[in-house]
Amino acid sequence: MDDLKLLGGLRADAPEPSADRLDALRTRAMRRRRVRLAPPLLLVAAATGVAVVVVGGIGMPVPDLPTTARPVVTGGIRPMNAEVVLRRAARVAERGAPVPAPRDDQWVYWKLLVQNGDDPAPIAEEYWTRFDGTAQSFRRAQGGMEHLAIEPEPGDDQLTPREFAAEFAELPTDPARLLDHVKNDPVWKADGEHEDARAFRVFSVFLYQEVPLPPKLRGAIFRALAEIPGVRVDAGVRDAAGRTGIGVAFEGDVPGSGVRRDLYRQVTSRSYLIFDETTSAFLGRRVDQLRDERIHTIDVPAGTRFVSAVIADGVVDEPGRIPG
Amino acid sequence: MIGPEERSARLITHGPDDAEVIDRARRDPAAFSVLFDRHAPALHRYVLRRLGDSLADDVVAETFLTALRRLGRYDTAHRDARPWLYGIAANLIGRHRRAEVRAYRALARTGVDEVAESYADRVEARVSASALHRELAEALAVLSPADREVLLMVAWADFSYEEVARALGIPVGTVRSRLHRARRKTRAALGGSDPSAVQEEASRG
Repeated sequence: MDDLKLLGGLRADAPEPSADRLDALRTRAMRRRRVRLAPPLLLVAAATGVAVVVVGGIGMPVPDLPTTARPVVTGGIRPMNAEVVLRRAARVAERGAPVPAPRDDQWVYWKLLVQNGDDPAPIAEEYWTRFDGTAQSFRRAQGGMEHLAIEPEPGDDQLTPREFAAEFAELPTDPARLLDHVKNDPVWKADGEHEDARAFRVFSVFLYQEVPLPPKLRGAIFRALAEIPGVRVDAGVRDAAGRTGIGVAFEGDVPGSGVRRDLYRQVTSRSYLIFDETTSAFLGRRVDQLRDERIHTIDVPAGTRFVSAVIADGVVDEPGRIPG
Repeated sequence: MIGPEERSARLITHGPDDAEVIDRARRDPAAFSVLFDRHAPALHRYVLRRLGDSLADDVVAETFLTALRRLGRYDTAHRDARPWLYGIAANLIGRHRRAEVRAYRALARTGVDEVAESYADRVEARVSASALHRELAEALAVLSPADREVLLMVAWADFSYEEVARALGIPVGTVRSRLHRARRKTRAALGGSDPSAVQEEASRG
């Protein structure tokens, strides 16, 4: 008698989840949290195999995507002089108001619009994160509130809002020293990653989370971005709220850049941080798939995009409340 | 259930392995969902089998949230991420140990399996379990948590000794001794029974 085989028969009729259940679970499992390494998530219609609805460039629908590789029309986007634009953004940022210092029991509110893969329209996501990082509440579209207790784990890739604020208070505000710091800080290191890619990634994480950056540091980040080889700046990049701004992307052509290129060395997708041209405020992110690409079993056609917009933030006393 | 053969075939046929996906996921928006789509269905079934329908979604969602948080620490020398994911899940399942054991105990005593009922069709659900399954449940209820973890990773997740060792962060020798102990207790619970009687029972389902 094989006891393992007999045990294998116990509850052997347990099913795998349905596609619908899995879809709902995927959304839940990929909630944005303050993660050091995680980029915005582009969810393609993987499980269902449903064709991805694509919008090319700036709000122009592309009818019937051809199967042949074809670069996406990115109309309205104008390449800019990165140094000039980023220096100007730095000067505006440095004149900003001081950031608030929340109490441990207060909640940092963050509202995003997210349009992902095949979403027909942007979906609102609201996050209330307790400043000490021990709890988070979440609401998606018109859905109910979800609450999550977070147990702090040493060595996590995740930072609490309080830890972010503490890190921001300590970071050098001299651009060269700041750049040096983020390139070499062991907590941000990932194997095989070029230091330029790391610096851009770390700044992206700093900018795309709910704890506001002190004005001097924001200025230093813009100045440091201008020093990273391969950083490009485009005007006319649209966020999920329909606002256009300055798009900043890293496309360094070095080993370990993380920038994916096709056989002809063409960049296959472009990932922007978007800023308001006048106020230099962070608006959101945009990832455009420029060329057809296969990732694992998933075909990601050119024109697939992830777009988000930060449309509200602030500090409140209870989850569910809105600043204001 | 996916057997080991199918699993390795899957890895060979479908391009980038988990380590590569994780490496990309560190920068690439699309890649982490690949990992989810690849492993969530089987992991969900495994958790469902241990804790029932009401907890499975929570545990699986939390497993992937935790994995995402620890992406930077994944050792890409390991090409298959399953042991890593199931190790994270094992911790989360462990938080519901009382509920898990309570269900085994109830099954052993009453023949009613609340976990099976949680996912099964109502009509067939009330069929009470076989004597064999009641004995197995009794064995699972009395095993130490550490022994049970090893036994079920082998029996329900088709893990090799090496995979269990990686999942739980213990030496392979420890896996072997825990499994040996767990199987001895399982056989004892089945036991007294005449092996041929058990066989017959098993074939009847």
